[in-house]
Amino acid sequence: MKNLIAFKQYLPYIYTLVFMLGLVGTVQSQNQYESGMKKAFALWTDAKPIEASALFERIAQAEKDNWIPYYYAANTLIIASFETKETTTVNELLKKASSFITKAHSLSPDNSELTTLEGFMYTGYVAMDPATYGMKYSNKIINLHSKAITLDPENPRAQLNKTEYAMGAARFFGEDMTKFCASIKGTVPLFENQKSPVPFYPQFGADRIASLLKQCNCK
Amino acid sequence: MLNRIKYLAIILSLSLVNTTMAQTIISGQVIEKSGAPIIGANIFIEGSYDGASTDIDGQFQFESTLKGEQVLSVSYLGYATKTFSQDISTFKNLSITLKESTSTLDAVVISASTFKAGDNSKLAVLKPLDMVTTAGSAGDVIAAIQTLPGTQANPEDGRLFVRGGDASETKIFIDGMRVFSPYMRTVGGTPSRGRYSPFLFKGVSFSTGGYDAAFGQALSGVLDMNTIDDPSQTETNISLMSVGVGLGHTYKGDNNSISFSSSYIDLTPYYLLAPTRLDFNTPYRGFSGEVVHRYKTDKGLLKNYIAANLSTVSINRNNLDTRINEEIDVKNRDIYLNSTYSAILSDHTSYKLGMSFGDNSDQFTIDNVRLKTYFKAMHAKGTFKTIMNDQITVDYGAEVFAQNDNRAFSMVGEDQTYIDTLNRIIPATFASMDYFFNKDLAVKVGLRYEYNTAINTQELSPRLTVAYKLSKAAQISAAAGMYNQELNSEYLYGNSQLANEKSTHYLLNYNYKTAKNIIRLEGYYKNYSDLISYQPGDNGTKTDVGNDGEGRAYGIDLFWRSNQLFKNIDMWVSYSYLNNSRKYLDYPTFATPSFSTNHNLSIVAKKWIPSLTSQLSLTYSLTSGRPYDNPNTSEFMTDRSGVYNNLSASWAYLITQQKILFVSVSNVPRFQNEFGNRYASQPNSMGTFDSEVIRPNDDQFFMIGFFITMSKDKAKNQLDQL
Repeated sequence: MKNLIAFKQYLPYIYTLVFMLGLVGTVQSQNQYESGMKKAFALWTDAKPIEASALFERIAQAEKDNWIPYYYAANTLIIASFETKETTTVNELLKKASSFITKAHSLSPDNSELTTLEGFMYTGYVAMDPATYGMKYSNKIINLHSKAITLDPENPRAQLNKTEYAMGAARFFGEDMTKFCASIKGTVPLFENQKSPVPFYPQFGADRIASLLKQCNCK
Repeated sequence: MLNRIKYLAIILSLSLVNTTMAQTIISGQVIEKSGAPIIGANIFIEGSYDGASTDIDGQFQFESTLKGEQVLSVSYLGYATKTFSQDISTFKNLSITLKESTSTLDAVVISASTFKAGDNSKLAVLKPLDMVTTAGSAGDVIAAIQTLPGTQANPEDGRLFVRGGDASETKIFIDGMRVFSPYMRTVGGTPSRGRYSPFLFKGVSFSTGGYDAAFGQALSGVLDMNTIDDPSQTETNISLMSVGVGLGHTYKGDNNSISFSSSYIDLTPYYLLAPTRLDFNTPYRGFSGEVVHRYKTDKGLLKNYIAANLSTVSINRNNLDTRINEEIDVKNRDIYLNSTYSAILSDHTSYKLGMSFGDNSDQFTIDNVRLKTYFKAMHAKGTFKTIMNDQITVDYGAEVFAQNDNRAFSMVGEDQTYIDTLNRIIPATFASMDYFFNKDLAVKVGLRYEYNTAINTQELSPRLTVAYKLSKAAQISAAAGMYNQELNSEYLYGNSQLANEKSTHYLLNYNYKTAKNIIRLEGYYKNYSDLISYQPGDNGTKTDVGNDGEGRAYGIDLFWRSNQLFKNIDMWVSYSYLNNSRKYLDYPTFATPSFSTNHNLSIVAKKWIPSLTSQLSLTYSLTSGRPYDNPNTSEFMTDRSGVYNNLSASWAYLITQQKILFVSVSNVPRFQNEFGNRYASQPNSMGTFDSEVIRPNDDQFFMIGFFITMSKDKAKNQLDQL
């Protein structure tokens, strides 16, 4: 009994100790997250998408409940797949990207950005072999983009990807492309007003607007 | 005192932080089996930030502050991930060999004689769209399959004949479940078509021999058609064709979808304009309706499919014996149900349960004599697939076929009670194992057991396939297997002493596939035994019915698809050489049956013309002379018809994304083809048998169609339905 009282006396200090240790840990891991993410983005900028993805994957599995690193681990591979000619490699890249998207979805269901990315992943298959995958995935891609817009009507990437996919079909049929001008321009304020609720939340994409407007002969 | 404790606490906390900061260096090299370094492999301690990618020499080094037992994960694209659970201090100067994952897309494929359309196979030779955009197929899946090697064209019949086997030797399945009456009923040399709409299918798997233990009751070939899992969207389709009209609607919900389609085909208006050799009382008229329902559960997918067909056709034909015109009238009613449920049981096991049911009645009337046949048949099947590890996959299951056949002969107007009835149940069980020695060498061994209650017979059929990968693009396979099927029900009525017909396949296959070229070369030998045999009796009756027939077939099949031979043209060439000889039915000696031809060639070419938003497709086919028996000579089946030639063309013009104009013409150059001679059953007064040349009913057939899709999303069209 006496021992217990004596122990109780020290409790505040033990709390302080634990708190301090915890704090050190948190600060350390926050710094690690930030510097790790920055390092991964640097690798990506440095045209090392596979290594960037590997680092994003390492961060993701260490963070455990953060979907953002998985988002980029997948995105780097999908973009790499567009620059790869060898179909076996493209398949491997997209398969791995898909596994990251699945993991990210389980951490953050009904996430508009992840749904947009999933549509982008299927676009990778269509780009690789339109005759095989065009018929199979076109509607899936369109539906995913529509779902992403429903989940977050302010998501400029979902709007722009949807428009860009529709442009591909219209170009194929030789249709008037100027009909897309309004929806491309519509994303400008969305890009300008986008918020970053958490660090590294996707913000990119506005730089494609100019080229898309040009493709559609918009004034 | 308290101050001292506070001080202690701070010291303690700092020192603890320091302890966790002590570094362990983790290092090593990641290599392939060959010793070559793997660049960019991902190595990390699970659950931590500590990790690195390998450099250009496959080397890695990083520091970690972790202590004790940790899990080190090593992974790279296309390789099986390795993990090590050890004390962190032992992770030094590691040499890690990663094995290429056998589940990767470029591993060897255990499959010999199978042609696939779709995207799910490494050996796919046709794209999903090819099933419907091949000229001359006019939307018939079976006709598109006939441009592949291993098939013998019988253009006046339309059914699938594989490697010297007759049409009954190739069984047709939808989602792995038997189709009991796959062809539309026709009359008098009009080619029959597949009953089921190509709109339904996302891909097919067509095997011309050596198929695995999951398939039974097929002596020569297996065609399995896979229905679409997930329709695209809610939409309505309307077709206006020169031969009829069609209407379809699909509703798509979140987890379920339902589609219905119906068509009415009537050739009466067509034959008012086009010449034909047939003397029609009523040209072909048919109604067909289909409903497909799909429901997605948490872990699986349920599909229900119901199809109904009604058709009638009536012609007049001169009887060579009586020299009198007789009226031939054919009516058919067919209902088909197919339900499958496929789901995941655990991480390593998936299963599929299925049931199909067929109900078919035919009525053939020649003047005032009538034959009615009616059958009910069902097939139930359960298959499991267990992935034991990276090297072993096991497929196992059981199935049962049950069929009830009835027939009645009568005079028109008389009572038509079925007098002959035949029932049998065929239970079967099967298992096979895929074993990957490595990424380049794999073997599949299988065994199938069957029992037939009608003839009280059991069969045990072993099957074996070995596949070896020669290079990234090429592989060779060898397969052997024993196959059997029950006799046509015509022979089984009231005769339980008969046996199953049997065949043994041996084949050797070479497969080469790159993005631009696919080449397949296959040689095979087939041995047939216990084929049906009988002696001709009076008035077309058969006596001494038994299983004394035998036969052998061997040949070479060649397939080449290229999209680089001519710019912007996708084309394929199929050639089959077949030597087939049988002594069966009432053959007095070994002979080549009339449905077998020595040489079959098909060339298919497709070109997309962007400026016209049109797809142009051409199909040329050539078949060497057909054997037929001339009773005016002493030899049996030694006469040959002339060579058969056909060049078909189709043009699909996409007016907008939602409106398509489609024109298709068969035999554009109007080649005059013939299929041998037909003879009277009795000699005339001069002692010779009267004959006539069998010609196609129509030298040419054309079709014009206009297809409209209506949906909220305007990007979708019916191109995939042409």
